[in-house]
Amino acid sequence: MRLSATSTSISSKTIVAASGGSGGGGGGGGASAELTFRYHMFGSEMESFYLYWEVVGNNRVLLWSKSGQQHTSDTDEWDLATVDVTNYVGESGKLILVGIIGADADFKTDAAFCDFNLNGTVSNTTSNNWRTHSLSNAPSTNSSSYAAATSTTLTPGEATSRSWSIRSGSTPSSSTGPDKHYNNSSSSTYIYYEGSGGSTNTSKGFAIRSRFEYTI
Amino acid sequence: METDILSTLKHQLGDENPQDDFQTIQDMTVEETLAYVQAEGTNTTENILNLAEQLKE
Repeated sequence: MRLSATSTSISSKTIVAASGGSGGGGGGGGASAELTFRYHMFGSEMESFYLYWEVVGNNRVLLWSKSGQQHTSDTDEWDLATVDVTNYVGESGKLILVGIIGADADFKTDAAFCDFNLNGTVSNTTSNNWRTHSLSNAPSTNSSSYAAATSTTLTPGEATSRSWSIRSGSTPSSSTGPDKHYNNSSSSTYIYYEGSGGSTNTSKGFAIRSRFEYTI
Repeated sequence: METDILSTLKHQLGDENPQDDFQTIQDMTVEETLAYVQAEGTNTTENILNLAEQLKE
């Protein structure tokens, strides 16, 4: 369900923190709106991950972020993130996930995401619905907003090293990543940052962007 | 299935042996991979040894 546009001042936007509690889809007749998604961040060397809302050609705002390990096993239940996006009702834009990976990063930082629901509009985590970039295009900066501005034109696949990837079942590394999609299906795909492949000389930002625009 | 086991095994070998080039390990054949595991001997994880056993079957 898509809500009708309401008068929302872009200049009045604020960064809205996610809550970890339960929540369903929004759009229940009022002007309020929610983004919900699932995340799984198991790995003792987990880096920092950010989610942005981007009105194409306009501005970009941070919706959610987490740093460090949030789960202690690959079989842990995925957590639910609920973000109030009421301030953006009527806007069309894209979602961007950014991982800021340190120069000395370990492989145990496979953060996974799925079940994006933007006020009732589902963005399935399939290779058709998301776009990323190559390692060589990863910005060498600790600024997540700079990384979020990076162009994303590559179709993500089952990458083996240092990039956003699409996968079903467990991630190939032990000691990091989920054992399967949130819905317990071994065939359902999710987005994750593949942390294997060695470190680089500097920190780098890795971005994956929804291919299509969504209207809140 | 063998391909899945092989790719997972090589991936984990790359994780556990950062002194070696990750991509070179990913490019190894089945025989080269098993030889690599054998060379590592007990100096590797139980998970890797189990994957190697599955690959031999």
